[in-house]
Amino acid sequence: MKKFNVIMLLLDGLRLDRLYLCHNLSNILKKTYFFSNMITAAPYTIASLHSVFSGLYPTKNGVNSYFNANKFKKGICKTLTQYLHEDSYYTMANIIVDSVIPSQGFDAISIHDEYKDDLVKLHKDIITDIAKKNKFFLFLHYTNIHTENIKNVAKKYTDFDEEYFKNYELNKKNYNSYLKKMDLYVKEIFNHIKNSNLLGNTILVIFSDHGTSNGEKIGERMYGSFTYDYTIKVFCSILMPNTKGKEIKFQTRIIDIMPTLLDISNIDVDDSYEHLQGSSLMPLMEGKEKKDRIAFSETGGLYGPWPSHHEHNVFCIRTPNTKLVFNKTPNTWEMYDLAKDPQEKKNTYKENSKLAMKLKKILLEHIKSNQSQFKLKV
Amino acid sequence: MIFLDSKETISIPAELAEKLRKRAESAGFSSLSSYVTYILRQVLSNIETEEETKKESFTKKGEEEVKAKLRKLGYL
Repeated sequence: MKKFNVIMLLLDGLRLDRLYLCHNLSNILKKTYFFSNMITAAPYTIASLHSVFSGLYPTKNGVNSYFNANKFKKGICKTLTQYLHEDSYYTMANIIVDSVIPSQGFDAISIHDEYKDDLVKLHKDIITDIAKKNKFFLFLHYTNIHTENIKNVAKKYTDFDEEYFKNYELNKKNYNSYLKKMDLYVKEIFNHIKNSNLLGNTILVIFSDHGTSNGEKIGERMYGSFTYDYTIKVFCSILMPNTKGKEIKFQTRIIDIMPTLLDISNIDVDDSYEHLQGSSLMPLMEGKEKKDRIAFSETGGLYGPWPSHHEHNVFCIRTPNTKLVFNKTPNTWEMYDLAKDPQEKKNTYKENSKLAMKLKKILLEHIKSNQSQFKLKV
Repeated sequence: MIFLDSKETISIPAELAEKLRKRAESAGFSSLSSYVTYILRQVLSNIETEEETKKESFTKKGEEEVKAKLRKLGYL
């Protein structure tokens, strides 16, 4: 069977609820399998991407804090890149710094200068070069939203600055202004892929890794402190040759991307490594599965009210209509009715509520099983 | 040179293999080899992690490298 090339285009920090402002991207999404209700495993790039590449939640794969960026359990977690590399793909990435993805299996990783490089030109050149390979996997990291946020938010405000949090509309306007450049980037790169005659033999994945705060909740000026929807809701689109595509509104997880790409590429999962926690999205694409998937997300802030540099301390479980949050450090719980209260303003948590008890049990079991170490000692 | 997908055969007592085979089946592994390799990967990973943690200088160096990258990203 013919194997397709794989190009993954990461739009770092793009909020799901602002896609409507990105006309070029929206037009492309119409032609793809568009997962419009995807939940990230962690609302910051380093942990999110290690989950994308491993199909495992952060506490399972080892990258469960900003400071654990180099603690990926490479001996027991097999990455998407390793699978493709073993299947004779040439594998390459262009990223912002080398700690954002696991390096295992890459033939080449290049780093761009977020302040100097023209990402449209750089990524077009990379595509032109790699298109000469027989079969390839390319990961491209678009970082301008991150760069603008660092410049205009992180360097100016703290997670508690009144001046920032009282100006939600202005913050929103500023954030939205970064999207035009991103949308043009998407158009240019897509057209270049098309003009390079790659669409007929390439799977194109466009996705975001986390959202970004506009000042919704005091204590989080950007992302990484909490697990509210404005940072954990993301999207993924998969464009495959000879398919029509459709929007899939069921809740899915970012850890499902890797098993989906293995499934499409007819690559068997190696069960001598950690067993994948994500599962293929193909049954949803084919209409054979018609249900939401329960999602978990976790984080540990660099700043915010409960900074946790060496392990995640905020966890949530999300169903389409309900979210239960466990703030481990102060040991508090929050529950939100997402259908009635999508802004997550009213904490409805009651210890004796049946739903809270049910979700609490599932969430605590999930955390415990991810933390458990193989006990055997030699 | 050892290729990532190359394999070697290791002998273990038949009685032990039988016990492991039963466990592999009940745990849903595709084969005895996968199950034994899974166990060995986990054991080795734990040993290596413990060894790295014991080397304080290694841990500190690793953390400094991460901090440098977080600074470059504008987070610190």
